[in-house]
Amino acid sequence: MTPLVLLIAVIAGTSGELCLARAMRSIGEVSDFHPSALIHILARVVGLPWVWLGLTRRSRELASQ
Amino acid sequence: MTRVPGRHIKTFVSILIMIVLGPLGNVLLRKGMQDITVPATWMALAAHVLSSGTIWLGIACLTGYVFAEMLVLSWADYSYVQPVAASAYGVAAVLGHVMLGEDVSRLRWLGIGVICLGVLMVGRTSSRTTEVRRA
Repeated sequence: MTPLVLLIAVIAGTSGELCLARAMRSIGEVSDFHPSALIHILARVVGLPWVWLGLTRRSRELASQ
Repeated sequence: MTRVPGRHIKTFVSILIMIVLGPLGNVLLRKGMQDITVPATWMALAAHVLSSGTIWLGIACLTGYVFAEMLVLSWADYSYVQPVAASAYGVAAVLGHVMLGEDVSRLRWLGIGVICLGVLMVGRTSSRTTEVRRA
């Protein structure tokens, strides 16, 4: 059972990270770390489907741990 | 690839945050779950989990980890960030030993050392190999 759970964790984790990477690449380089600028970027990030796909898969990885 | 001033420092700081908060969050979650006795119902389990300060602290650490990861991925390569962030396995071993009382064998330390050697090799490469636009 453990190898199967590990396999699920690896696949879910890696694909989740790839989705997050794709989403953040579309946002562009974050260079302003002022709280208001970060909130503005966060508002843009939550509108991206890739982010939600990435976070969902990451949470599956966490659940399988 | 053009060199952007400050990118090296913000990459280092973001990955450092990931390396500390990731394992710390996982250890706190494990410690929080270990403290919970197995309840009879799912509702009772949820109530125990939601009332645990350790678990909430673990969740906060993992949330910080995800934010740092997302920020660094906005300017650095995925193929750079993930291998370099693997140095968190060393932090995980230390935290597992100190906070959870786990016995980390020499062979396990050797394996972690090999990982850290790989991290050093990846860390010597450029963090960005493609053009990146400003947010």
